[in-house]
Amino acid sequence: MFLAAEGNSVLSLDLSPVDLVLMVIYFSFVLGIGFALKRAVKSSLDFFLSGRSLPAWVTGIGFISANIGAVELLGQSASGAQYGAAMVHYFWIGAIPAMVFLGIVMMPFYYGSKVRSVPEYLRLRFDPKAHLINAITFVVGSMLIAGVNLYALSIVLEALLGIPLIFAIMLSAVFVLSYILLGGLTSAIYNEVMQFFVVLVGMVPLTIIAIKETGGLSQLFDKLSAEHGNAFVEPWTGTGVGGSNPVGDWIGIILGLAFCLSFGYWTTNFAEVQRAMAAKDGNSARLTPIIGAYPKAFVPLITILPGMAALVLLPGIGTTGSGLEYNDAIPALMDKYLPPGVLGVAVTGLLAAFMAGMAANVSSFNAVFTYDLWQDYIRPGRSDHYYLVVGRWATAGGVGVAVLTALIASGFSNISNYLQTLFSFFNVPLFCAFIIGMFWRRATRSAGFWGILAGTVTAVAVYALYKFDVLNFRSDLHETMWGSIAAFAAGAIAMVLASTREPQKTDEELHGLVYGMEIRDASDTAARPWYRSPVVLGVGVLVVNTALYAAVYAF
Amino acid sequence: MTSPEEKPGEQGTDLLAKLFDIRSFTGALFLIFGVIVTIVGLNASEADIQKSAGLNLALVIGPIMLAFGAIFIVWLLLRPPEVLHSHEVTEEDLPEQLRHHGLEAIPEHPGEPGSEPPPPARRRGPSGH
Repeated sequence: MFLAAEGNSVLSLDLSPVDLVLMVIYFSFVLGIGFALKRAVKSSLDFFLSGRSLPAWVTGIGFISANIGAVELLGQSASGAQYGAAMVHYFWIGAIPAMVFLGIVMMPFYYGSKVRSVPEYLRLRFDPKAHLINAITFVVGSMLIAGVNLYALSIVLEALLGIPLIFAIMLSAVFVLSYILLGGLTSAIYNEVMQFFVVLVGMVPLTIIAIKETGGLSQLFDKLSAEHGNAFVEPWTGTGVGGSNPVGDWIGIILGLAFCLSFGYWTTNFAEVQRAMAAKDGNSARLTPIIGAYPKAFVPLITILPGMAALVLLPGIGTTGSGLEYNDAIPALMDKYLPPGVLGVAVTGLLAAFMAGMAANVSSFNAVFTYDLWQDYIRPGRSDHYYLVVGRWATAGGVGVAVLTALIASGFSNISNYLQTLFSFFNVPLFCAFIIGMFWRRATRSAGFWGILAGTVTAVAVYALYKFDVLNFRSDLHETMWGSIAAFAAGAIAMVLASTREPQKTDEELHGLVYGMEIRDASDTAARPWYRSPVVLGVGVLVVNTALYAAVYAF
Repeated sequence: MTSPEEKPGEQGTDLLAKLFDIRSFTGALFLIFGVIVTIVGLNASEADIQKSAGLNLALVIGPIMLAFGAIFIVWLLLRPPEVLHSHEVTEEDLPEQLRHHGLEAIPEHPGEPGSEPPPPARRRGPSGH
C-alpha cells in the first residue's frame, strides 16, 4: 500500500513484500558490478571508454539500452496514447536508418581516427571554436537530460516508497554516482545490458496481457479508429501537406524527423557513440549500432502499443479528473494487470531504465568535461592519472547539477516533447557540421563553428516564433520537425559560405577524418562471416523495419 | 602496465575474469529472479490469476527467467572471457593529430609513432572486459 504523496497524478503501485525483495536484489547487483569492476579501472581510457575492449554484443545492447530511459518507456507510451500509431515513425523511419547509417558509414571516422569523444572529432576536423561550442552545449545538454531522467526515476520511487520527492532524488543520485565512480563506463554499460533483459521480461508480458484484455489487436485498432479517426492507427494517414495527422506531414517526417532529428541524435550524440567507441576493434564498433537496431525496431511494440491500449483499458487517461496523466500509462497498466513477483520484476526494470538513462548521460558528460574541456583548455599536459581523478570529480559535480535540473524538468507535462525540443536545438546543427565535414573535404577550419552557430540560432528562432504564435504548426512535434529542417539548411549554407573565404586543411591534418581517408584496422578489412558484416546486418534490420510497417496496416 | 596478478594464464585471475564477466552477473541475477518468481507462481492465489487475464503469469515468467539465466551461465562456460586486463594510455591510443603534444607526461616509446595499431587479440568469441 504505497501512495503517491503529491503531484498531479494519484498513481500508486500496490507492491507486495516479494516485489520489494526483487528490487533490493537487483540494486545490490548494480552496486556489486561497480565494486567488481573497480580493479579494472587503471587509466582514464578505462574509465571513459572501457579501455576500448568490449565485444560487439555488449556495446550493442548498451547502445540501445542507454536510450531506453525516461524518453522511451514513459515518454513514448505517453505519446502513443496522445498521438497514436504515427509515433512509430520515430523508430522505423527515424532511429533505425540512422543507426544503420552510423554503423556502416560514419563509424570508421569515429573509431578509426581514435578520437576519444564526439567533440574531439570536431576539434581535429575543424577548429577549437567548433570544438568548444559542441563540448559546452553537450555538457549542458547532458545535465538537463540527466535531470529529466533523475526526476522521472524519483517520481516512481516517491510513489513506491512514499518518501518525499527531494529525498527520492538524492537517493537515486547517490546510487548512480557510486557505481559510475567505481567502474566508470564499463560499469554503466554492464548495468545497461542487465537492465535491458529485465525490462524485456517486464514489458513483454505486460503488452501481451494488455492487448489480450482489449480483445486482440484488430479489435483495439477498430475501436481506436472509431473513436479517434483512421490517422490514429495508421501511421501514414493524414500526413499530406495540410493533412490532419498530429505528428505532421510527410516532408517533415522524412526530412525533419528522419534525416535531421534522428540522424542528428543517433550519429552525433556522444552518450550513444561512446558505447561504440568502447568496442574492442573497428568491426565491433561498426556492429554496435546495428546490433542495437534489432531490438530497437521492436521497442514500439512494448511502448507505443501499450500506450494506445491504455486509452481503452484506463478510461479517461490524460483528462483532468481521471487522476492519470499520459506519462502514467505504463506504471498504471503494470499495477492493474501484473501479479506479485512479476510486478516486482517489471517495476525493477522501469527503475533500472531510468537509472541507466541517467548513468549514460553522466558517463558521457564526465568524459567530455575531462578530455574536451579540462585537458584541452584548463590543465593540459598532466599525467593520465591526474585526468582519471578529474573524471571522478567531474562525475560527482555532474550528478550534483543533475539534481538541480531534475527540478526544472517538473515544469513540463510531456517529457518526450521536452527532450525533442532540446535535440532540435543542439543536435541538428551538429549533424550538419559532421556530415558536411566528413564528406566535403573542402569544408575549412571555421566552417564547423559557423554551421553550428547558424543552425542553433535558427532552431531557437523557429521555436520562439511558434511559441509566440507567429508560426503555426499542428503540434509541438510538428514544429520540432520543421525547426530541424530550417536549422540544417541554415547550418549548411553557413558552412559553404565560411569555406569559400579560407584555405583548405591539408591531407595530413584530415587523415582518418574525411571520406576517402578512413583508417580501418585489421578486423574491418579482413574477410568476415556474414553475421559479422555491418552491411549484411544493416540491410537485414531495414528489411525487418519495412515488414513491421506493413504489419501495422495488416491490422 | 599490466600488474603482476593479472598476467594471462594464472589460475586465480581466470576465475576472477569469469566472475567479472557481464554474463555471470546477468546469469546469476536471472537464476535468482527465476527461483523467486517461480515460487511465487506456485503459491499464486485465485485473485492473482484473475488479475492477469486468467493466466498464472508468475509461473510462466519464472521458468523463462530460469532458462534465461541458465543460458548465460552455459554460454560463459562454453566461451570463457579473455583475462581481465587494463592498460596505461599510450600515444597509440590517441588520434594521430594529437600524438606528441596530447600527453606530455607519457614517456617516449621506442616504437615508430603512427604505425599500424597492433592486431586485435585472438578471436575467442564474445567475451567480457
